[in-house]
Amino acid sequence: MKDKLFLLFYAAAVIVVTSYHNIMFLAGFLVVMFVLSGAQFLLLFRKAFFAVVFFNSIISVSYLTVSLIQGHPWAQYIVLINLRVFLLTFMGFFIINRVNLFKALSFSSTMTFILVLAGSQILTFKKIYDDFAFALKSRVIKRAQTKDLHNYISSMICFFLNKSVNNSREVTQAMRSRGFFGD
Amino acid sequence: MHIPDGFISPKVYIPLYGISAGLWAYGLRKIKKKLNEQAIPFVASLTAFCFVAMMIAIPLPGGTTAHVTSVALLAVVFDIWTAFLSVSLVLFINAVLFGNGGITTLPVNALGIGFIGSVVAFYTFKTLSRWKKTVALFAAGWLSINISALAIAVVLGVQPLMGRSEDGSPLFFPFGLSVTIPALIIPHLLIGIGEGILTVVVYKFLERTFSEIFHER
Repeated sequence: MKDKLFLLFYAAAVIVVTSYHNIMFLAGFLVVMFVLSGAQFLLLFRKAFFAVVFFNSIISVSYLTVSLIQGHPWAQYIVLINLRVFLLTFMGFFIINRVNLFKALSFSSTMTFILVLAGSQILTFKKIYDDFAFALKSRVIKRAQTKDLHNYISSMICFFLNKSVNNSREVTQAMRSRGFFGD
Repeated sequence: MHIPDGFISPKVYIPLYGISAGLWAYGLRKIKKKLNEQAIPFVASLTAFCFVAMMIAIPLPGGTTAHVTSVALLAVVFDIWTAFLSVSLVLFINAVLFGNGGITTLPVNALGIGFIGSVVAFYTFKTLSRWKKTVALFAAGWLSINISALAIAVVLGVQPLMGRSEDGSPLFFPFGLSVTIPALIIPHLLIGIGEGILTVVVYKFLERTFSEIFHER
């Protein structure tokens, strides 16, 4: 119940933050979030920063360029959008650290079932994907050629596909052997 | 197409959440009726595969890279609702666990990539597969990602109409349709080729190695 309530508060906060366009209000909200994050401040700050920096930089630079050419004001928009996007992302990571998403979304047993199975496999796959990337990095001195990258990607897709198919068979057998399907 | 939170107006994302919630509930009911014991773990595994496929950057001529979605693959192997729910799940996990995308952009991406992409892929494959299956699979992948990109470009492009501050500057995504449509469609014409190839190759691989899924449909 606690997790569901946390998620509801988060949803309400998101609506408020996207509905009020006052820079001081958003800055104040962000300071409150910084204080609430406590010892995790640096970790959450870094995660939120890297999650938004690419997209926001492109939009900010493009908007700045267009505004300078057309002679429109630009400062307020750039401050507002960056502040709001960073606040929402920081808030998102803050909530993720405190809420058990599987419990919060347990309103449907089928959905929870798929979410748990998919979520656990995604975490494993992500780790293997990182291992693949490190393996490639450790084996090339210069930037790999396009042909080599295509070979690398094809092998990786084949590996993940095989693993997906085998995992699903294993999970089905494991669930059947534990009586999940009422056989 | 991973847009962070804050660029979409609540006038857009709240109604889209309403539509998505209705479709998620309907899809879930349909899947509950249809899925057998083997299919639930298979959907979960394919969701994980779809997630990792989205992470892979495929190098394209000119030094750029493309990310595929695997939506067409899920739609033609299963159906629209399985694909829509799996892709929604991937987008959700991506947004809440890894910070790619956002909670306010989830319904935009889920409807654009998941629902519209699945519908386009499913019916393209259904129509063209009577003629030539390989072409049908490629067209399903290419068209689904391009129509999805168009839908998302439209949602982004209408944001400047959703409100402006006193000095006339936008409050959400700043660029209109004349910028968003070419900005998203032109690269996706190329990305679609990667999606089409992936759909053909993986579908044929699954037909060989996981034929029971196709027999049970």
